[in-house]
Amino acid sequence: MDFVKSLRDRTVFIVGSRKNAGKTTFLNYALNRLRGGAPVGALSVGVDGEAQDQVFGNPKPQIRAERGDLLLCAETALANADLHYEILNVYPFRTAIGRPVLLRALRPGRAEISGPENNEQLREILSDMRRHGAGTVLVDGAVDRITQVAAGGRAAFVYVARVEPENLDSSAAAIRLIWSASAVPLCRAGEKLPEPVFIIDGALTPGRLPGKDVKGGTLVIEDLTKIFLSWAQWAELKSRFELRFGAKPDLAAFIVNLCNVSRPDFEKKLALPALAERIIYNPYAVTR
Amino acid sequence: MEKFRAFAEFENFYGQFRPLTPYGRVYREGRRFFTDAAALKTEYDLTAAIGTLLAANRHKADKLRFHLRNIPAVELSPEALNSAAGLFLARKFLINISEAFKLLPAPLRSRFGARWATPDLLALLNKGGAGEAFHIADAYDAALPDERAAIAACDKALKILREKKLKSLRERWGLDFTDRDFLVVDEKAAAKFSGAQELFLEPFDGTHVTVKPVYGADYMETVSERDYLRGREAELEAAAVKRLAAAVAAERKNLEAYAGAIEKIDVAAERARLAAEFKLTRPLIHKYPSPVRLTRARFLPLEARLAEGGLKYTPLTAVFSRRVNVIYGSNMGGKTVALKTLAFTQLLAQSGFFTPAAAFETCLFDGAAFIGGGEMETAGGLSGFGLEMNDFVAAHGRLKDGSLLLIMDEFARTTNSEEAAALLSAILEDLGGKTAAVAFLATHFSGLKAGKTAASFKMRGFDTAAFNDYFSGRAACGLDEKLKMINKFMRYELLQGGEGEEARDAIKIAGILGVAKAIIKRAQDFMEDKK
Repeated sequence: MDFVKSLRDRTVFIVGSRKNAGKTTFLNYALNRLRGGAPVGALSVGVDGEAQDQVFGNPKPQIRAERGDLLLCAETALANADLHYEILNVYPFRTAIGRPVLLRALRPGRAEISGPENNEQLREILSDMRRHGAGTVLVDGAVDRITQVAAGGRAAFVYVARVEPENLDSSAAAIRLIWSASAVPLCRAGEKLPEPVFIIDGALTPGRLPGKDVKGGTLVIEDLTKIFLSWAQWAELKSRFELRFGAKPDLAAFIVNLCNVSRPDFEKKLALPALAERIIYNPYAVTR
Repeated sequence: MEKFRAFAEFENFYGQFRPLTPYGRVYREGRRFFTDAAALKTEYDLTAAIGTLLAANRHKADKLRFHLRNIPAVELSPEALNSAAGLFLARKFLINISEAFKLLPAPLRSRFGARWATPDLLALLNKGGAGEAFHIADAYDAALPDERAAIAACDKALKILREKKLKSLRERWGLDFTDRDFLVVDEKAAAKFSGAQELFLEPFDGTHVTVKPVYGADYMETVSERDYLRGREAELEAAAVKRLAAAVAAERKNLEAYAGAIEKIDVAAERARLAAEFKLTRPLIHKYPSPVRLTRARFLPLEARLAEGGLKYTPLTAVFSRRVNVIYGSNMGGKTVALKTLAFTQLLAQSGFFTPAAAFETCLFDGAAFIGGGEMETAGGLSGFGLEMNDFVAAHGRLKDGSLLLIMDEFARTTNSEEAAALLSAILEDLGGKTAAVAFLATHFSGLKAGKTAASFKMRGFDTAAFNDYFSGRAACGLDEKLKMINKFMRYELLQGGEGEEARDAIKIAGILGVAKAIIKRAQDFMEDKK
């Protein structure tokens, strides 16, 4: 099945392994693929600071809008937008680059998308976009904002990674960890869990792990965005405890952009054939 | 005042006062304490009037809330207005103000100062709007439609040229750029593209190249033409924005008046909502000094807490005709709650709210102070006793500035009873001579010499007969059960008189709370011996 089509009518957070992983490029690609039904929406939950997407050299986080698209832009960015638009809302919360403005494109053009500063504001904007008819909403997330995934309720997320020889090991480990964590079940009300039950509020860091003498029981983690462990620490934790998440966004896909790394070398590093099958390699590559 | 508010648990109620507009929210932050009877009467009148209107028409109430919630804060500075976003907000403000005003009958509009005077401005802004949306419409400049038509023609031409080019690339080179701006191709496979004028190649990594279409001169010329037209359009839009911003700024006074009126409507509607929700009634305000009469007054925070625990709540009925009042009573007998009820009710009344009582008659005070709870605090090296004395000195000093409602709970409880009683007697006597003071003092010390100007009250206390009747051998278990027992048999009623009477419930309460029977019996023996 074409995984991009499966994103239709969902709120999809596009999160990256690091800055310039290719998130905005993927966002533009996904927007093109998902138009045709209800209007698509796009916003960003963080600006990385670079003017260019260094994977493909595209300007970022500018996106190419078509008539009817719903976009969230900063007030200050509108003056330079190559866009004719109507304003649907101006939010009272201030960001470093002005108030967020929700707009609908009245003809094709380019615009720099922007976003709110916290999850409560994000929820309000997403709800507003839906009220104005948005079907699929794509959220371009910065590297340190993966936590935003948790704000979307039943949202899905796409993890975009740029893999180079110098980050081959760490990229493979990060993807393995997310893959492994995405298989951890959601904690359901009334579920009988093995005792003792440890509930970790906030970040799960090495310092907050139960001592090695504690074996057995259940560890309930807020969501997978709160895991700040190495692959080895995570694997050790899994061997000791039943794990559950309080909230769990769906993992829609891994998008891996390989640079000077061959696919067999990368998959060897992953060492998980089932995971390798789930990866979408550079959607812009001609494979023939 | 902060200590007084804290004692009255005022925030517990105030947290539920949630105006819907940014203007109402600013008012809320002001935490106004009315000392002017005429100003307070106006607030009460507005609350009553809008409350009557909204109670009679649920649909109208919902519509008003909808429009109030949608009113944005509008900045009227030239910089803030000089953008499409600023104009959007101005229009949204005007639309919702206009609709909110329409929901009120003319006499009520007039009382709120809600006079709609800018239909022309709204009509002008509506040329760029449909529903909630706003844009710099063609109607704002005669040249805009042509510019935009020309841009649309360019867009159409570019689309045709792009599709033609992509079709040709697909057919000639087998490259499908559908949905993609570029393709990543293996360097070896891309060798065949070298020299192709219609493709632009650049390295992607060591083994791949990025391939982008080159659309050609006619395409680039159209792009340039579009850029030029877009520049012209931007200039026309900027000029239109400037004109519209000037039109809004010209109505600045009206817009400011709208903001003032909508703040009043919002605050009054929210007060009316709270009045309906908590069954509040309008207080009767007399000239200072006047008796304070509470009829079935409810201390809402406690009422809610008791309801959660399934316990009975007893409202307070009392008449305080004198300026100095002493409330005697045993531990857990309800003295503090009586003071809190009074403080809470008075604060609500002077904050513009109706009050949780069947009737509440009072006067306005220029200030309010609370002294007590000192045993829990230490500050600046002062003991609890020291803090209380310090607070008293400060409050006493305020008496020269105007009338003061002074509430003292178990003042000087931490010192020895003999000296405490002497000190309290002297303070009560002093306050009796100060016409600016209205004081309420709760104490479990008996026999204070409060002077002729003071009135004494006592909490009715524990109903021993009913308790014995009910208890007859049943053993209470657990704190909840014990508290229920005390709640059940403690009569939280305020009776007049009581001066010189000693509270005699402490031993009974100690018994209910689980102190050993032998100890209780011995304590009772000691009491008998003393008699």
